[in-house]
Amino acid sequence: MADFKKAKMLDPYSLMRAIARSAQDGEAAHGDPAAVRPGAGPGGDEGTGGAHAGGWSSAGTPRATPRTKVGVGPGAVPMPAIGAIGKTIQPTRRTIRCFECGYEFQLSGTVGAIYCSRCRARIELGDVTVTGEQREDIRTGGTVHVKPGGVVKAGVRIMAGNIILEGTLEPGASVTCTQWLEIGPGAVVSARQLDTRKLRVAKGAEVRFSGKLAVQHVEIHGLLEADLEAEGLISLRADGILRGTVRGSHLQVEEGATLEARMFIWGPERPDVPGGSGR
Amino acid sequence: MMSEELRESVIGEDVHIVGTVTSNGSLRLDGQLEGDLQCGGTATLGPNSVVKGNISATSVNIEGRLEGNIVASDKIAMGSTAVVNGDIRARRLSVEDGVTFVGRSDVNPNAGTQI
Repeated sequence: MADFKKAKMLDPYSLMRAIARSAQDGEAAHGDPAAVRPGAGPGGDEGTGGAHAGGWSSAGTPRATPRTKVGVGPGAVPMPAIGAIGKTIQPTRRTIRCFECGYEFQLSGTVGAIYCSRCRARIELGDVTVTGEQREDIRTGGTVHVKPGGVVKAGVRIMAGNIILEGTLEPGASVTCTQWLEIGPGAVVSARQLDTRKLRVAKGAEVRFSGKLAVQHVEIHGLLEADLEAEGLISLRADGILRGTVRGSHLQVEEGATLEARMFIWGPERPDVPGGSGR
Repeated sequence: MMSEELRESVIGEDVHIVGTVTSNGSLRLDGQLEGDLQCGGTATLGPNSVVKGNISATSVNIEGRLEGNIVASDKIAMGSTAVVNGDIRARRLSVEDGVTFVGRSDVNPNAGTQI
């Protein structure tokens, strides 16, 4: 068991998929997942040959290396490097929010579309890239990336899971984001056009809002100048600059950041202080 | 390093001072202070400390309660138990999650700050 702890961690789902694939193709000398369970052998990094010898059958199956083909022949299925599974690792999940009924659920894996389990509305999950003029609404649970030079025309509404904004939102255009909205360098946008829970200001971006900006979480790597109100965490990174007025419950500032603002940061027990804003 | 630790003055948790405290070196305060604190080195306010007054030092580490302003020529570090009601000014700032902070912040690594 001690050797397990020393070994490299591996996503079990990739391993099982590869085993199932190789068993299906008849390439593997063994179909029992236990037989390829990473052994307690020492070492075993990708550069030196991957899998531990103890994990393979005694028939002399060679150690698996990264992308090493199992079995012989040109059609052999490449196997990922085999390490030790110290604990069960959950697959990456993302939060999907139905635009019709607002129902939220977790989804793992990659699919093109899904149906809301509550209202049965179809939810597209593909990613969209905007490089020119966008004149039609976009509605997806995936990621929309408005590239530099991309222009979202007036009246267009973008609704997505994640949005990366590096282009221009004309007045009248709006974005609704259920997860992270990232504003990159060169983005032209105003606070009234944004509806997001989580905001990230990328490094090099300069975002100045004249109005109030209300979000759940905000992560600042660039410049943000606003009347900011956050229910969750305000994270000011080492290269970030925050100016204006800041109201929130949680503040985290890395050394090196610039903070020139009026601050109202308090937890559940709010102290009686003059000038504080009520909620 | 060892000589700096030896030069640090400590005000215990059961000490209550009314007046101005001045130190040329570093100072750690675990008690209560009603007055200003002027420190030539690092001023550390322990988790149980309560200060009602202004603090000026080279660096300030806050884990307790402060009602007053802070001016640091170098750095201000707020621990998760810090409660600060006042303005701060320094070249560098670090804040842990959990801090209560009401006041104005004027922290700019590119600007010089003098006590």
